[in-house]
Amino acid sequence: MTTVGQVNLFNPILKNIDRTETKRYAGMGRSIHFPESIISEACSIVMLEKHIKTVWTMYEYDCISGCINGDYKIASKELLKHLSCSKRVILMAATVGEGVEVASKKYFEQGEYALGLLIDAAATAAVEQAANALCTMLTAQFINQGITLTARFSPGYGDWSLEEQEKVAPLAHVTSIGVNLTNAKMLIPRKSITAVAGLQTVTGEDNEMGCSQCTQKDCIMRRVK
Amino acid sequence: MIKIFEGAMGTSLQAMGIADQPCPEYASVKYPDEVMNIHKAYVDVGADILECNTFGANPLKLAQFGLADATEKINIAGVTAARRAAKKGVEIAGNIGPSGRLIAPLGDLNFDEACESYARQIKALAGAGVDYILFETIIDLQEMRAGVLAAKAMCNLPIICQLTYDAMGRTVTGTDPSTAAAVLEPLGASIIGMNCSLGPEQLLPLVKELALSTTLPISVQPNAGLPFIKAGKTYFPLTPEEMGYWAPKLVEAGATILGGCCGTTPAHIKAIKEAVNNMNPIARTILPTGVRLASRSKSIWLGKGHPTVLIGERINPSGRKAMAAEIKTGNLTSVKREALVQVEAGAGVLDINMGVPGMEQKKLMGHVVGELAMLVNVPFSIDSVEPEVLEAGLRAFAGRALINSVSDKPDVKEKVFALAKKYGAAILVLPLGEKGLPKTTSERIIIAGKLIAEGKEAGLKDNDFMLDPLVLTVASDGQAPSETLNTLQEYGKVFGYPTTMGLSNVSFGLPGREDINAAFYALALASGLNAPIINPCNAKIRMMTEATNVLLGFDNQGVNYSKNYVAAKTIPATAVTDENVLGALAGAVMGGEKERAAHLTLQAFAEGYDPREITAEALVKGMNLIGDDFGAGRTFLPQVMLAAEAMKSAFDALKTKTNVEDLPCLGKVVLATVKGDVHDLGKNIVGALLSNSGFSVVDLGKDVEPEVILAAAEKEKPDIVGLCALMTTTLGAMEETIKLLQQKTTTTIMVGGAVLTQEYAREIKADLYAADGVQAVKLAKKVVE
Repeated sequence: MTTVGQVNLFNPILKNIDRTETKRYAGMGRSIHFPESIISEACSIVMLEKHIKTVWTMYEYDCISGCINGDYKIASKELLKHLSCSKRVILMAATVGEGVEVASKKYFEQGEYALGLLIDAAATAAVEQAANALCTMLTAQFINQGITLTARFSPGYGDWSLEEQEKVAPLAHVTSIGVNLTNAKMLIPRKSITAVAGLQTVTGEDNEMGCSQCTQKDCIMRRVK
Repeated sequence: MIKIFEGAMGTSLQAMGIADQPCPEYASVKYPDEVMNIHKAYVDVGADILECNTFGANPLKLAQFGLADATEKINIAGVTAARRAAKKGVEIAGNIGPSGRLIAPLGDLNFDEACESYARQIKALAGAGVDYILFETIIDLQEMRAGVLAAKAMCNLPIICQLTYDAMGRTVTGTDPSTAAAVLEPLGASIIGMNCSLGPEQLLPLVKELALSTTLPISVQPNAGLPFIKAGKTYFPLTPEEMGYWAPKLVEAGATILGGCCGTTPAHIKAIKEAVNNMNPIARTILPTGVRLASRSKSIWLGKGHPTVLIGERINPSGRKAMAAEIKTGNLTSVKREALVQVEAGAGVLDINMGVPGMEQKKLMGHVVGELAMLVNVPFSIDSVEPEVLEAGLRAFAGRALINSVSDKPDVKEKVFALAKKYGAAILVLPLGEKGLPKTTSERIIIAGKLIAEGKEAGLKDNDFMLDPLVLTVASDGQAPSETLNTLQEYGKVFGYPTTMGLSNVSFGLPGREDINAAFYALALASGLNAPIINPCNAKIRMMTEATNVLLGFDNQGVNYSKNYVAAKTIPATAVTDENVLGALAGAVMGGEKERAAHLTLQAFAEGYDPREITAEALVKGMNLIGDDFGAGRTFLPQVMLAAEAMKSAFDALKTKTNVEDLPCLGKVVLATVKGDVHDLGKNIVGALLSNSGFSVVDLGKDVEPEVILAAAEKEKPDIVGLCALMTTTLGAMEETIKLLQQKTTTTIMVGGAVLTQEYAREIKADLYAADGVQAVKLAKKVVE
């Protein structure tokens, strides 16, 4: 099992790209008439162009002061609540690499707008799948110690400011998977995420996560209205 | 007799408070008597095999505690403590756990490094006198392979391979018990099993599955249930009595060695021992005949009694210049695409040949196998004439591969047989003698028989061989195909091994090769061909395979065949109406029908409609209508973009018939994503919609400095400058840009982007705010009206 502060790499295998999620990220509701072949092509292109990498590190967490690793103090009330039963946290990052962006741009420039748009959406689905695969792997690793992993929580979600990416990215060791932070605190390659998840005992209260809990009511990705 | 392992060591050390000084394994050095006493407690209740306190004592793991240099000392101390506790007849297993890092490409650990780390630990354990090498709690099949290879290289001790499965019956990296058996049994495991993570009840179905998949003894060491922590202490819920209740059921399912993992105590082991004391291992089902291949997450059977398996032949740069050239530049896109497409078309195995002239094939093969295994889940056939290239592929492949191939070539065949044995691979036997191509069936049978005998000498078994009957060209020898078919039939009678062949060679030099190939394929299947090496994307071959599976009883009532047959039928296109060609064209734009839109545009032009009328009454109207549908939530963005594509194709068609100047231009827009923001999809969408609605668009790209936007506005004199920002962190740059533009120009500024709102747009003094691309077009039209 990992030790605190150790940087761990994991490149999960994705056997496919989630079509339903791809459609959702492309702004399509369920059961609308749209050529399935374009969705298939977008998913295939992302399968070919993706270079999936994830990284995770475990840190001590003081749920009283809201401090990760003794130095980063969480300001988000929602995240503090989310981690209120945790004594340790996992800082993680995932990326699908640059290839998908190049492909999306290429098709857009060729006038295949819908395909370009769907490649972008499929890449978003892929990075989420990668992060989910990492969390599944971590859950399996910690369950033997009577410990579960809370849902992951990313900068920009709820009231956790995107500005915090500046502090979170180094703790998540994003550079070890080829991800960098721009001056405007954006992750490059663009289809990359960072997140934190709490480690808590199985008897502790698990926090439900999802759109219904998020305070960003106008978010375009919102599943519930 | 059922043998019994000891129970948990780690949790016992924890209970004594000596598990973290600095790691549990070091307790054998620091507290040898305490460790010995833990073992002794298990001996006292009847444990037959003790597990040394060496679970994490591989140098990679010990390095985390700065103890890599003490690898030998810790392992020897672990064996000594167990040996001191053992009575006569009690055996000792050198316990080996995960290295703590995943092997590339899943993680960053090099396969060779993993092998070396395990080899060092195994050497110490074997030197100290253990009776077994026991791998346990391994979550990745490739790590288990590294361990078994190391064990085989360092000692002759029996090897026990225990993986850890989750509640879905797979390891974290996707292996199921049946696939584990398919890979580990031929690799050289002596006992296969599982431990940790789950309790006995959850492991029971997995033991049943494993028992149907291997002839080897099965070991099972469940946890005492899933743990929970209360008031800082870890508890395991399963009582010794409950463990005793499940133990006989595990034996009835096929287990031959039982024990306990996390949370089990001497009381649990005592309960297990008493519960199975009078039991014997059950008689197991005999495995099907044939050859089994496996990837990390899937195993398949080939041979008589199993459905036809297509071996996809297209990952082969020989004769494919474009693929070879691409591979030379380090680009694997074509190779990956071929893998995906062939598997999608029904390939059950992929043949991988990396014969790229001028490339270091050994390195390339290892890399490609690793990369493709991350993409598709079928087993691979490693195809090369060079033993070292074969080895690179076999090492990298986390499964059981097929070696393609071995022939009667001295000096080479011995190496290839040794590789098959070392890596647990199956092998394709090609009856090519030293004297060239054997023409007759009897000659081929003799050579094949000789090679099989030599393979068996090298340690291979009946279920390791596949046979190729040799396919020669019918154009040069009219009897060649009959000889091939005859050889297939004789192979079945003499050896009974699965057969394979690349069949397209038969039609070389003849017209209508596909038909000849298809006919030959049908004849070969009837003669006993099991796994053709073929292009699975060929529709004829595919349908013939499916049809044969129905006829041979592998597709009950033709369910799959019927499904695929319906899917393959093309749906007739809707007839084009010309009553109102402009209306039809508007409909084609709305429906995103690119080809139809272009066709109808040309038709409208031929019928005498003016380009401006076509644009206004059909194209723009169609875009407006879909825009309205979008605004009302009846359609979604991808459909709007598809309509824009149809619009573009109609415009392009129109441009072939008229001057661009004659087409209406509504106005000019300069677009940019603001400084610091690297997102450009939203801006590109707006650009595409504007340009296909009659606007001239100047796209400055993403992350654009305010000064650059100003310069473009001054030079282009647009009707509108459109600014985009997707993240809250770049809204400041947008405000800065607006200020600059308003100081120096009078142009209308429109803003948009995911995080923007009408209020914020007003606050930063933008003239217009568009919530989406469709609205941007509507607003732009209002500006230029």
